[in-house]
Amino acid sequence: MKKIETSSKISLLNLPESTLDVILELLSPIELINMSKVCTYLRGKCRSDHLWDNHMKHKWGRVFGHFAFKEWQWHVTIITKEEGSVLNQQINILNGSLGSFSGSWPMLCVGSYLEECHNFKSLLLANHFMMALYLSLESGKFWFPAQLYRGLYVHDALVSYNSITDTFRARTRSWNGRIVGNDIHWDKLRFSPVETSSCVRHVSDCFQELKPGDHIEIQWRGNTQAPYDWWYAVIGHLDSCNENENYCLCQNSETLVVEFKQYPQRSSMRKAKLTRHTEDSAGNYGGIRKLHSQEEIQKWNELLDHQRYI
Amino acid sequence: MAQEASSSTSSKTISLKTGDGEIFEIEASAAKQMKTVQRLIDDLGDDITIPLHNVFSKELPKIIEYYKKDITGEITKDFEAEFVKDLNDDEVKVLFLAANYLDANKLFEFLSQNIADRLESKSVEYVRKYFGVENDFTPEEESKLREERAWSFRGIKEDE
Repeated sequence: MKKIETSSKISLLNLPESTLDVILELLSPIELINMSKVCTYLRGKCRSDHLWDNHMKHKWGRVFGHFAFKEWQWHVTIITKEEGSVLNQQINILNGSLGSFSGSWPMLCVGSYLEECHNFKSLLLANHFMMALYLSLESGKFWFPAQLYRGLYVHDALVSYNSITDTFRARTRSWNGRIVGNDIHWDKLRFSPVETSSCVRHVSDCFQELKPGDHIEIQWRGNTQAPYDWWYAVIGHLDSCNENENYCLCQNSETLVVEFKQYPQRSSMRKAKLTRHTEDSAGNYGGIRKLHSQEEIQKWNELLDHQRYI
Repeated sequence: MAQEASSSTSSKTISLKTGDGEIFEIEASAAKQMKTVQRLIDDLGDDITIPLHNVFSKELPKIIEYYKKDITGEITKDFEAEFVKDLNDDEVKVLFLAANYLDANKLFEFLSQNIADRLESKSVEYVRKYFGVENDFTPEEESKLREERAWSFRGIKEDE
C-alpha cells in the first residue's frame, strides 16, 4: 500500500509567497494571531497590513469611516513618538491617548480616545498599522467617532465595541464623556460622513444648489449649550409656490424650506424656514449635508415608515 | 500547432504518467483545466504520454475524479464536502501541492479553503508540523505573543 509523503518532507513554506498568501487570506483574525506564534517568518506574514486591511473592511467597514481613521492616525503619531516628547507626556497623565479636539469651551468635543495605548506600541513601531487598529477596535480600547440612529435623527458619539456581546457602548463626544448608550447593535450605527463634530456648526457647501425634493440632514440642537444632532429632512416648496415642477422658482429664493416628514402636514413642526446663506450659529439649526446616496435615503425612509406605524 | 477540431477534442483522452511510473487517462477537456498539463500538451502534442514528475499515483486519481465532475458541471457543495471528508490533513496538503503544481485553479482554491478551515482549530505545535517549520522564537518573544492575544480578544479562551 502506497504511503503518502509525510509532512516533514514537504514544507509549505518552500512554496512561492503568493501560494501561501492564498491560504492566509482565508484565515480569521484569531487564527492569524495564532499563526503568528508558529515561527518568525509566519509572524511577519500574518501581521501584514494587506491581510488585516481585508478584515477591517469586512467587519468594520460600515461603522468605521475615513474620519475615524484620521483619529487613529493621530494616535499612531502620539504613541510612536519618542519617550519624553511633549506629545508622549499626554499619555502618562491619562494612561490613554486623547484624540483631536474641536469646538470651544464649554462646548468642547473629543474626537476619540484610545485606552491603554501602550499595548499597541510595539505593533505600531513595527509598522503593523492595520493589525493594531483591528485589535484596538475588537478589544474595545478604541473609542472611535460614529453616529447612532435614534428615531429620525443621528447622534454623534464615541463608541467602543464589546466582543463578548457583539454590541457597542456609546459616550457623548462632549467633554464630560457621559455614557449615552449600552448594548447598541451594529445596525444602529453608521460611520461619520463628515468631520464636523457635534460641538461645531457644520460648514455647508450645498446651500446654493438645494432645491425642493432634495434629501438632507440638518444639524439641530435644543439650546446653545447642547451638542448638535443630525435630523433627516427634505427640502420643501415655499408657501407661495404651487409646487409645479416647471414653474417652481424656490431654488432662487433666499428662504430655504426644510420639511420634516414625520409631522403631519398641518403641524407647525413640519416646515422650518431658514435663510439660505447664513452662518448664524446662535439659532438652534446648524449646517446642512445633502444626501446623495440612495442607500442613506432609503434607510431614512424605512425609519420614517416605522415611525408612522407606531 | 495542435489541431483544434472541437468535436473530436472533447472525446479524446490524454495519457498522464506519474512520478512513480503509473499511467492514467483523462479527457482532453479535463486536461484543459490543468494549465500545466495543457502547456505540456501544447509543447509535446496530445498523442504522447505526458510526464508529471511531481504528482504521484496516490493523488492523481483523486484529482482526475474532481475534474471528471467539473466538466459535467456536477460540482456541488455536497460533492466537495464528500470529496475531502475521509482525507486527513496530510492527504489534503499533498493534493493541494499537486493542484498547485498542475495549475488546476478550481481545485486549488477549493483545497486552500479546506486547509484554512482545518487550520482554524489547531494548536500552534500542530501547525508547525504541518508547515514543516521550527519554532525560532526566543522565550521573551513567545510570552509577548501570548500576552497580545489575551488582551485583544476578550472572552476567547487562551489555548495552551
